[in-house]
Amino acid sequence: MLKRSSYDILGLSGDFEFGDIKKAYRNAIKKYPPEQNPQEFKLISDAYDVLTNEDYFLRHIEKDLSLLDINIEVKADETVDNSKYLKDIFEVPFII
Amino acid sequence: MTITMAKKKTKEFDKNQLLSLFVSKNYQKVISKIKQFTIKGVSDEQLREVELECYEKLAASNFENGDINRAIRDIESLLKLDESEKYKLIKLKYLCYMENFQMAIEFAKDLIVSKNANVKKDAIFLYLLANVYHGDYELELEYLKHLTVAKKNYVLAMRALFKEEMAEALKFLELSNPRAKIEKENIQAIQAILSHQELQNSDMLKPLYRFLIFADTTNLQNTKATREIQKEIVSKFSKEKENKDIKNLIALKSSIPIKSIIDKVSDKELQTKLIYNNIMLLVEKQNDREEALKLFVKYRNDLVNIVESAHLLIILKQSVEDKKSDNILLGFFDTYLKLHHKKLASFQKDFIFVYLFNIVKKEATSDLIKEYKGEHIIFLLSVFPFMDKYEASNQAQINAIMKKYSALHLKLIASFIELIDSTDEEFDILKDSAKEQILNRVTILLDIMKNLERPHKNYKATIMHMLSVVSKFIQQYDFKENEKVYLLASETVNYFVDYYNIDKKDMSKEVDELFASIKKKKSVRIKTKKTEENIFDMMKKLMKGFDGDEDFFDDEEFDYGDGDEDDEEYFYDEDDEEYLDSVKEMFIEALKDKKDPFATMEELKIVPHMVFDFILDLLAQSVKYNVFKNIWVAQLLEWLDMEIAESEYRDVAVQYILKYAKKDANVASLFFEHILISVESQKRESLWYLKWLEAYTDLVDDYDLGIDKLYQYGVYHFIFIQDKKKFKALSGAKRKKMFNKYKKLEALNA
Repeated sequence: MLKRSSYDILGLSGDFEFGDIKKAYRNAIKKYPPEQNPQEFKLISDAYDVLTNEDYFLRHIEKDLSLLDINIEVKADETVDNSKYLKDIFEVPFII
Repeated sequence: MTITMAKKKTKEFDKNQLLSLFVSKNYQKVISKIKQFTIKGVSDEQLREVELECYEKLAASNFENGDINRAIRDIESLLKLDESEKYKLIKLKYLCYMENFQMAIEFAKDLIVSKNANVKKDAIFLYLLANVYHGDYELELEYLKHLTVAKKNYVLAMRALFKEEMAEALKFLELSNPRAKIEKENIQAIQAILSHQELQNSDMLKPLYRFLIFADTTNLQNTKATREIQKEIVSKFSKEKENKDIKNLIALKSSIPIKSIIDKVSDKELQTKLIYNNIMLLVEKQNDREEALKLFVKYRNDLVNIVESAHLLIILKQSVEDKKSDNILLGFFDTYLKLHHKKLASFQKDFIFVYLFNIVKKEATSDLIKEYKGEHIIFLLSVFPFMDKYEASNQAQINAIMKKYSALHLKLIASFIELIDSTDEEFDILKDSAKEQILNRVTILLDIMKNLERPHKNYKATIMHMLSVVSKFIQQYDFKENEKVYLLASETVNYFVDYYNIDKKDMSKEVDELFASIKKKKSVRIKTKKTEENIFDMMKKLMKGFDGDEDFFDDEEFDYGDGDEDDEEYFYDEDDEEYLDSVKEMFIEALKDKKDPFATMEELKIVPHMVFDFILDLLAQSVKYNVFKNIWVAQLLEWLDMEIAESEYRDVAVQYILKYAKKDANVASLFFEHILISVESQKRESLWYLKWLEAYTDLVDDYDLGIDKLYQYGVYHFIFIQDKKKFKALSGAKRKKMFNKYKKLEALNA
């Protein structure tokens, strides 16, 4: 099953160390208090467990695939207007 | 003015040859032969007709293929022979397609007043369009009334389009409702282009519309305008496609070509993340792990920067059989650990170490593991299970490991216990030296365990299980000769009973039996072993050929041999043979009487290593008495609890079949056919299955058994799968041999 990366869920990126995982977890919980964000809390605590709890890690390692958060903006499709070319190239829709 | 005199043609060309050129649509050559040679037996008028038809067909074919310049050259050549309006109309059409509207308008003037109504209508249609394309939107309305409703509205639509009156254009197109399906679809295509809507591709669409909607340049007229516009359209479409691809990837809808990511995203970090997610989607949505692994290997130098990448690589490697990519593992994890070891929990590193150590058997692997303080993993995997003498350093290592709890360490210890257990099952076929060595190792293990200092409470169940397995195992050895080990085991059990405060009532049956043995001063297993053991289990063990250290039949380069007596030792016993003969007789009698033959086998006592000969002899007899049916081979195997495709049988079965072939090749091939067919399709891409196919086709060839469908399937399947999987063991001479068989088959089929 595809899940969001545990590191992404905890907001960890770049140069961090193992000890930072706990801090990141606390920050995430502060940001999303469990009583108000039960679903987000589950994600956060699962992410924390998979990175710090060996039993949990071994139970999930072989079945869980994680996806990375990607912040990228793709330009909205420009309307492709090819109508002008109908005037440049001769064609008729009929059989003649 | 130049006057050209017709050259007198002296050489002759055969009429039939000319006809043959014509039939084969070689029109250019027909024209050239008519020009150069005298064609006997064909009148000048007939030749002129042929020439006209050739030019007309050439022009039409060039036009359809988009070569408007050649088309107009052909039609002009034609007009030199015949200036009829029919051909002039074609020229008018080509002039329009060449965008030579000025000339088209001039040229049309004679045709729009033609007495031929059809010519007139088409000429007016082209004439009016040429005017519009030429920029003259003042349509001569009196001509419009000569057109059909569809064409009239189309002309008006085009005029509106040129005047930038899009709504009008669409309105007229709506009114232009031609009857022919092909024309209707083309009108719809123009509407789609004008209103930027998507459309299903169709072969009926004219080249320009296909080009504008799908960037498909097939048969597009090769004019200056199309050449210029092509680049624009293709680039527009590729940008649009890349945008769509990336959007799909970000929305996690589907994986996309990596090229789209690289072309579209210049930021290296983002690019790598997208490649990573793309591989994930390839696994999840397309279930194509092979391709996913290939991509991972290709982009590993970028992916290694992502902390999650080790997990992905291990998952991919575990699900794809690809030894080639083993080569990159050490390098990848070397870099990975350099970059990320500080981010990882010790158990995550251990997990990588275990994986790496099991796959890449190199000294450099141990060095890498040691560099990141993973000596304990090397100890658990390569020292702990193979201790031949007691060493204080080993004791210290295991003390340190078991003081703290780790689920992974527990798993490694548990797998060692499984090893002891499986050795117990294979005990009878072990060589004496192997038995001695194992007893020594078990003794050292007990010593180590007895001196274990304060193991973590979570190891309690595992340790007690280990002691049960060891207690059972040592019962394989005579008590009197090995009393010390029995006592050491009991002392070790007692040590842990005290340490973990276990109630003796809760001890396992095996531990109870250990104490009982010590009390009675004899092993509880040795005496009863032979009578209790299932004869078919024994058979399996013997077939597996286990000798302690080697997995003989799992060797990829293993050769089935040629069926000579020297290939493997046989252990026939006259009494057993007599007994088996009587069973075979009973079996065949039952088959002949249409009774259940397995009923006669309830009390079967069979010498295990003779099972294949037994089966093959039964087959031979059933063939002899004409009672053979495919179904009972499957029943027989089921009754014997044998699945030939299982690793314990699959190599040895082929050996016995080849050996039996010397006695009766037909029966051997009959059994071989059965087992080949019975293999599930997903297992048919395995190395061993290809080896079976190789052996089967060799059998058929060696004994001239005749090529049948299975033989053909075997050869084709072998080549196909080997080319796909590229098993080392089957490359070179083996692949060449099968390819020669393939060539023979092709020759036969031809």
